[in-house]
Amino acid sequence: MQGRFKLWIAAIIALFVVGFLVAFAPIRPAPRGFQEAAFRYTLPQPAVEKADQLDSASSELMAFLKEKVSDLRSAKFATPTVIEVSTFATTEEIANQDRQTVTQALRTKYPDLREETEVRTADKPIWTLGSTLAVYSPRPQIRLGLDLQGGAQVVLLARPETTVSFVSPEDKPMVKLATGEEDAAPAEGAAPSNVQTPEELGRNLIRALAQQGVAADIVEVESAPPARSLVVARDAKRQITSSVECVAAYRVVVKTRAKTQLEADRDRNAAERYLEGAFPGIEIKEDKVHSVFVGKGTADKVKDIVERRLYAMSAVREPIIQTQGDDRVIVELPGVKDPAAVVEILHETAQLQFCLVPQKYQPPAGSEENDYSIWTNQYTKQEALWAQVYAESDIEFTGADLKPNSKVQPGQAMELVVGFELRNEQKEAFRRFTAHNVDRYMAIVLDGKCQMAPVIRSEIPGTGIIEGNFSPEEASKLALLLNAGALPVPLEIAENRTVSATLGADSIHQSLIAGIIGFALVVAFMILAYRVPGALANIALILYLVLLMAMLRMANATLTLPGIAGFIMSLGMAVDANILIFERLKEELYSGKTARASIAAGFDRAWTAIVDANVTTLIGGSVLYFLGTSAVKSFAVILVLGVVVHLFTAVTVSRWLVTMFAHTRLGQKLAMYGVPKPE
Amino acid sequence: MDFWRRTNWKIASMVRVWYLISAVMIIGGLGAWQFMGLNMGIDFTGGSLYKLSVGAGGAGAEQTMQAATEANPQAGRLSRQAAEVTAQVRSVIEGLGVEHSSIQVAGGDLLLIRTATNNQDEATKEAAHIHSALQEKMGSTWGTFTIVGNELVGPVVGEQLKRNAFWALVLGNLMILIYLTVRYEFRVAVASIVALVHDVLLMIGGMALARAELNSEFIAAMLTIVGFSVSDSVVIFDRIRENKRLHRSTDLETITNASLLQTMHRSINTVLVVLLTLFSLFFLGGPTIHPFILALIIGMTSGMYSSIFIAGPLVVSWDKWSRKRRGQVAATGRQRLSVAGAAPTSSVRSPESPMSVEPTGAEPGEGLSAEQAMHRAANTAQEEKREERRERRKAKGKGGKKRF
Repeated sequence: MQGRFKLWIAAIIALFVVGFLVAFAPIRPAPRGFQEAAFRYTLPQPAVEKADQLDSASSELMAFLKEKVSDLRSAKFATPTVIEVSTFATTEEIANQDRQTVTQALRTKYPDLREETEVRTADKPIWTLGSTLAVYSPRPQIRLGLDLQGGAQVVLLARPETTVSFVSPEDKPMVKLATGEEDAAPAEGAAPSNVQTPEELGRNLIRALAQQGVAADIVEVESAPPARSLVVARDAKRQITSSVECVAAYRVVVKTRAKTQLEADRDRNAAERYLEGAFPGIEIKEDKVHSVFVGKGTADKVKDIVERRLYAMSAVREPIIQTQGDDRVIVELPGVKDPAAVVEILHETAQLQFCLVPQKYQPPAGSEENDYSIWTNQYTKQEALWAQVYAESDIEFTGADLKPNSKVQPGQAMELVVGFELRNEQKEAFRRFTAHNVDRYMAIVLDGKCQMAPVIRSEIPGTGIIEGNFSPEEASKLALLLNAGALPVPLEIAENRTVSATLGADSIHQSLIAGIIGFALVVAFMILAYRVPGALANIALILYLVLLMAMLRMANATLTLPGIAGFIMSLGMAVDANILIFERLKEELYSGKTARASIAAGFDRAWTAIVDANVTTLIGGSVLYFLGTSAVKSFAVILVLGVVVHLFTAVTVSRWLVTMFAHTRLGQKLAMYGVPKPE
Repeated sequence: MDFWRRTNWKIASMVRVWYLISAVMIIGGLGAWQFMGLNMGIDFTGGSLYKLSVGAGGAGAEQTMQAATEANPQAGRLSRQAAEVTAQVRSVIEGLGVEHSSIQVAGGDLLLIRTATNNQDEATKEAAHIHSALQEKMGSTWGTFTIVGNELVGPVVGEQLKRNAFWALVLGNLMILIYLTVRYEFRVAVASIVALVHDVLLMIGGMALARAELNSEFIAAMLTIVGFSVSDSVVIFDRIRENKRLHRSTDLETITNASLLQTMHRSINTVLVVLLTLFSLFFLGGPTIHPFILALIIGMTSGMYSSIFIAGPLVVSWDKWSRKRRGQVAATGRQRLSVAGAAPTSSVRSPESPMSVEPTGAEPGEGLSAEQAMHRAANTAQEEKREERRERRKAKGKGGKKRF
């Protein structure tokens, strides 16, 4: 018996040590030198063009800095816009000196470099073990969720879209635009009764579509002429289901969320039938039908582009990007300071188009702050909205024809412009296109908005610039979007949860206090109710705590706020098995058995109940894991792992402890178990 | 400490009382649900939630807090004048034309504003508007307003969450039903599930009464209770099964009653310990998880009640009902029982109410604990031991599966 006890004690201590080493990782590889200091710099524009050039650029940088900084440890491009430098600094002062030297050296190469205020200095080890290992102050190594460390979680949802534009002959308009120039409407040829206002036509078309099953619970006029005339239908959940935009008296653009080609055809036909019925005798043509659908692989394509965009951004450190189903991409951005800006870049379609504008239109006379919203028809001298011009222009080239090496550069007046270059296979086509269309306007359009409309002066070999009074941020954003490519489908933000780091830190702080108090209460309760066995169960509970943390680290689980709550609650659940056993133990003692016999009987008889009771908790936890949200998944993981761990600690380990106690002289006394002596 | 071991409380015979208490609570909860409505969070409805910290400049650190408090005694003390703050914020927000908003002061310096806006572009604008308006109109009194968190849930997500919640509950209950049917028997499984549904209904009703917000964590709370509350019932049934083997001749009601009393300490203590941790989380764990913890507290308490007073007695009621239907009221076992002198139970009861279980006639076991009564029922200690040994052998052979 005594030999077995030694083994048990050794096993318990070993478990403590191993659990502690895994959960808190106090022993890690030693830093080379006593302390290392790490600095981060961001560049306003990418230093390299392609991801695979990062390594070579990094080694160049390393060689460059090595000459200037004596104790350089490493220098590299973490992303094309982020430089990370670390030095062997033994003290805080040296670290600061190093930082100045590094910054100066880098400024000679990149004058517009930005220095990140926070400087990471590596953990200072308490003492070193030989040359490879060092002891650090123990810290829990569990990955924290975004709600605790701060950051944003964004769920992007791909939406299908079908766009059809209908045109009637120019002298027979469908719509009377109330632009205030009543006389200008060339309504002579058409029967006046047929002409509708944009709002009427919008509502009528939406009603026609609704009869085909396109939900239209809320129909709103988003914007009225003269700016634009747009009528939008939403479903009961306020999601846009269809929209009708009158861009000109004779041109209507209908958009729906058709999921399949079949639905797209159905919607198109419904709109067409309505128009034919409403404007008899007028030949209405379909122009520019464009559909994108969401299907297999959509999410992967979106993920690819989102990844490239995030990768090029200096503000984002370790994004986690996953797909979910065919239409969802989940992006986790830990520690982002300005999540709104990142989110904005994520869901911008970034469809760049080069359009040849019909000859009749002229851009508004060239003021510098031109936004190209109103053009002029040079024959009729009427104003035309950009949407109308755009609808009548031909798209010649798109962003997909560009090499992904657009960059911000100074223009002629030292303003910021974005330079682009066409792919080699498109250069010849572009040259020919420009040669054929000398003196015409070419609009450069981003997501439907005209950025600039230069006149083609001569043939262009295949490179160019985009100008648009950009601020540095706008320019680098545009370059980034062009390089990453356009999204294949419009994206919608289905979910966005942003938490600041301070709120997260507060939550951790509060949970920690609650946890300590909760733990103390459980410990006190166990001792009061079960005396010595209760105290021994508390030892097992501490082991449970350590082992659960170790398990969580090994399972690479994320700890969220509900997760922490689950962790603390599981402290109470972990002693459940002990309570079951000790109640049984008391009963056996009451019936007059000896302590040892009662302990054996208590543990044996309680076992089936313990297993059944825990299996049901496991069932609840696993269902939750598969059907819960990500914050709740963490809770489920803790619930499930907690059951597994406490089945071991609360049954096996506490049995060892209580059995060993029963073999001491004190352990024979009934009072130790909280049971009065039998009279 | 050992009160329940000495008492001879006829829990299993007072089913009417327990059923009535439960019915009242559930109907009350459902009434609250029906008439007050559930306070559905944006996780379900879609919408935006803005979290603003006030006074401390958003730093949250003690020092800044203190500095801000010294400079402005009212800063960071929102909760003391929660009603006033809420009213002020509401008037500011309504001045902006934001509709359907809900405003909550959570903790010392956190302000939660919920609106129906469910798309990103509008939400970004709305957040900026609200922030600047609050800063302008209330900043001088309350200190700096800082946006510390934003949540936006689109309409698709909420629908999916509701669907998932439903399936999670169905699946969880079904799996537990199957597990308990395999391990015990169908009646036990059904009784446990009834107790479970009881708990879930009480949780929903309680949340409706407390006007607490339901969000995705509520699903986690429900499933935790589904797992944990059943485990309470399971322990009781395990004991009933064991006692049944030891005292074959005793009727189910006596056995159930004794088993309930034997496991009472455990049932109460287990939940008590979990409640200790939950209450410390409720009072100290920060305002963000209040609804989640509240749901767990309601569920745990209800779980304790339902496993003791609903699940066990329900099996007894069911047993009586089915016996009566089969016309086996006077079973041979019971006759033997009365010879042995244990508390007679259902042999004399009005035929039209099968649930009537008032113990009639003399109480031979008066003054004795339930356990002692049960011991008496089984003939002698020797026989008991013999039977125990026999049962153990059988149990091993049959893998422990046994009908009542």
